[in-house]
Amino acid sequence: MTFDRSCSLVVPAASKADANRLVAGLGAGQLGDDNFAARLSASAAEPATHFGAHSWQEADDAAIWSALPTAGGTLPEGVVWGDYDLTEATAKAAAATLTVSVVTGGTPGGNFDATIAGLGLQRVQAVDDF
Amino acid sequence: MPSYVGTRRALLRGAAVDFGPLLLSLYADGNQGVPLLPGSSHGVCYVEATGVSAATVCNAGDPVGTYRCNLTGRYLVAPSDSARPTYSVGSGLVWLDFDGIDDLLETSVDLVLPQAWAAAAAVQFANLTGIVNVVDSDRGPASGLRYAQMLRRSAATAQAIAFSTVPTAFTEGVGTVVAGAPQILSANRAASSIEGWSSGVSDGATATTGTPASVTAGVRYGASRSGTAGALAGFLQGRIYAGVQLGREFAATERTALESFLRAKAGL
Repeated sequence: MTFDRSCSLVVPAASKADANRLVAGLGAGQLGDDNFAARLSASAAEPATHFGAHSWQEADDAAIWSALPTAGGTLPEGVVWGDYDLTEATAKAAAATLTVSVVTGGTPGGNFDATIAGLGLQRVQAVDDF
Repeated sequence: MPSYVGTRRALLRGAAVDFGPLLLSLYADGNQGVPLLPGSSHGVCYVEATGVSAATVCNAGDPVGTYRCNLTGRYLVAPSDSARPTYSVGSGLVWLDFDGIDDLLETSVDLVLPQAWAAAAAVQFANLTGIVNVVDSDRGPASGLRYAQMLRRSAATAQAIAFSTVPTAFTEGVGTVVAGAPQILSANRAASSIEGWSSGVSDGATATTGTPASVTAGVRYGASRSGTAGALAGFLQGRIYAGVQLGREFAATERTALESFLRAKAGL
């Protein structure tokens, strides 16, 4: 295994739930996991308007991720979307809302920050909450 | 007697120190907490983020979904596949790379943590941007209770933070933070004080008042949970060579011995 593809994903808040079901269907963990833990907004303050994720993938999987938002939502064959509380239509719709950036090598922060900057977003900064 | 090969570090005069007994003693008698010791016989990193059922042992470059602690039998698990740090190897060292975006490992179940605690880590910060957490026990995913933020970097220093049951926060500096090089941070929360060390040098102690919190909370490396909902925040960008979180104080001799072990793990 060579996990050398830096994959950054961004989804609008309204589509986060279906996007999590979508990526679970693609093998990223299990239904119920939250793969989009990075909180994003234009001002770097709450509330988050978008959510992001980063993971290293192998080339084959990275190609699947890259294709997701294209052509109104491009899905791989063979996934029973009903097992992930989606239909093919809702899975396609969720895929179409994603922004996906795949870079070979590099640093995850570099890829991710360039991706969100292209969308006019910043990471919501952690604050002292005590 | 457990069978293991302890990490050894050559010292001046050709002597060697076997750190296995130290690590075993820290978690003897059912002491709570979970260390993170990749690349040692004290734990195993797996690719799958599935806890006890994880089966694929990590090689260099693999994502780490589960860490099984051989000392405690507990598991640290990434809460999602995208949250997995990377198992990295180089120059005879092993460390986990956290991406600063969504990577962390945390206990798969909350632990009942006693009042006193201690933590230490060999860590390398990639930069000095924002608030990030190295070792954290602040809330569990479910409980929402405050316990401790341990070895958190804020501004130009590292901090250790403890809470009373009110909760009132007590913060003590750990010491100066650097970027791009490994360093050893440690902290103790005793019954009436909290103290931090950077590279073995104390940054002083702060007296605490009120009743120390003893709660059910998670233990995590690389991020914290904030707010009553326990949202993930403060993601570390950098390396953790090794970390220890313990549900009691370190004795002074334990802390200094542990810092020696951590220096060896970080190649210092």
